[in-house]
Amino acid sequence: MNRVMGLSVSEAGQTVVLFSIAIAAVRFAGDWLANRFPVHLIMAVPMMLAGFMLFAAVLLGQVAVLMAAYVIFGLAIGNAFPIIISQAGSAAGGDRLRDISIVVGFAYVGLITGPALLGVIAHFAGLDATIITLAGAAMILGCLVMTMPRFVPSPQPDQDGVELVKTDQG
Amino acid sequence: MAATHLAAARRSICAGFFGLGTFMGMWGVMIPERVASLGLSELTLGLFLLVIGLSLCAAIFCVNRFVIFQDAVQLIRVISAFYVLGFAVVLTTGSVMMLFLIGIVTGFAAGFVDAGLNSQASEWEQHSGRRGMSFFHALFSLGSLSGAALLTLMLSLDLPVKWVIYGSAVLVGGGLAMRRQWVGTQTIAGTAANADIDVGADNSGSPAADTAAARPARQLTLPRSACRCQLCCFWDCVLRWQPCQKAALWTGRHCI
Repeated sequence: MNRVMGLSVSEAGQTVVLFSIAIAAVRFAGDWLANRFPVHLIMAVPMMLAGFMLFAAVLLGQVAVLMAAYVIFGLAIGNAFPIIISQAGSAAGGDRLRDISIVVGFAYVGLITGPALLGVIAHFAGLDATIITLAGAAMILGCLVMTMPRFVPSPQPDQDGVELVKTDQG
Repeated sequence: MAATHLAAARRSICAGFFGLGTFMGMWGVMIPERVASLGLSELTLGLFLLVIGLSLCAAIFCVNRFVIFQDAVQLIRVISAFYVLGFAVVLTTGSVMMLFLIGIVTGFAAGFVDAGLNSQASEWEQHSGRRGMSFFHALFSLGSLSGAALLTLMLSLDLPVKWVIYGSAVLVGGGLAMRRQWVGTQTIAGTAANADIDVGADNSGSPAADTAAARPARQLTLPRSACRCQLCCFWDCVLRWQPCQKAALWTGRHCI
């Protein structure tokens, strides 16, 4: 943003700070939202909106739109990971630690490969192409999340009915 | 499980997420200082981040594969000390070799503690019947912002950050190690110190239910469709994109 879109270092920094604050803020509201709306909609609708905003930012070339898109992107993805972990916990069998660790493992693989992949795209195709890729990924993920209720059961307390007991800890 | 115990467990989980986030935020602020003081190139820094990421993934593999790492409470209480001290060394060391060596330890510790805390948060949701995962992760974000703000303030005032980092490490690591109330640590006799785990057991709180929960898990012969082995779980989770049903009756063999 500093090099390509001409934002000053402080403006680019402010965008990242706003992005982080948006994530924190939406997470504080996450449980309230999840109690009132279907979780797949909480994930899918902001994700598609964020993708649309990023597309618009690239097409219009407006810095303000790009900054707004970053904030909406933060609002969109802020609750994604907690909701995914929560759903995984609901769908898990007796040993949630192992089941959740699989999900966390996928997240870390994405954390490692994502920036590298986007860096390669940015290197060969430029920042606009990278943002369009992100926007496309957000739109596709949003559409995929809409099908989530077909795969993940709604959470119910202690529904697993499977016992797993260890008693050797001191 | 008693409401008071669940409330205490919630505070423990909150402290864990906040503590983890604090050090992650500190790391974000200290990256430019680390690059400058250790003379790291972009390639070296990228390599370091890759090493941490791979260590994290290795830790997740260990949690999934080895029984010794499948106790969430012990993972949090013991390994969080390695996590915070590892971060403290990474943020203050003057040696590139030490940075990489401790980075590996820190990556492993982060993977263990992250898996353990998320598991505890999920257990809390299941036992309490309430949603709380977003709030726990919000505390991680808040901790991250707080850690970043604290070190930014210290750096802007030209104050030494070393003792703040080590002080935070002792506070967070010691605090988590001392916490005894976690989900599943309420024992039959009511002594939380024994830290029994009754994952997914009856939560009615009745003595009969607790006694039943103390029985060892039964080994059942499963039909092919209900096999819980790694291969079938991978097939269910990844290829067929269905909820995973494995682990509770893990035998280590394919399709008993």
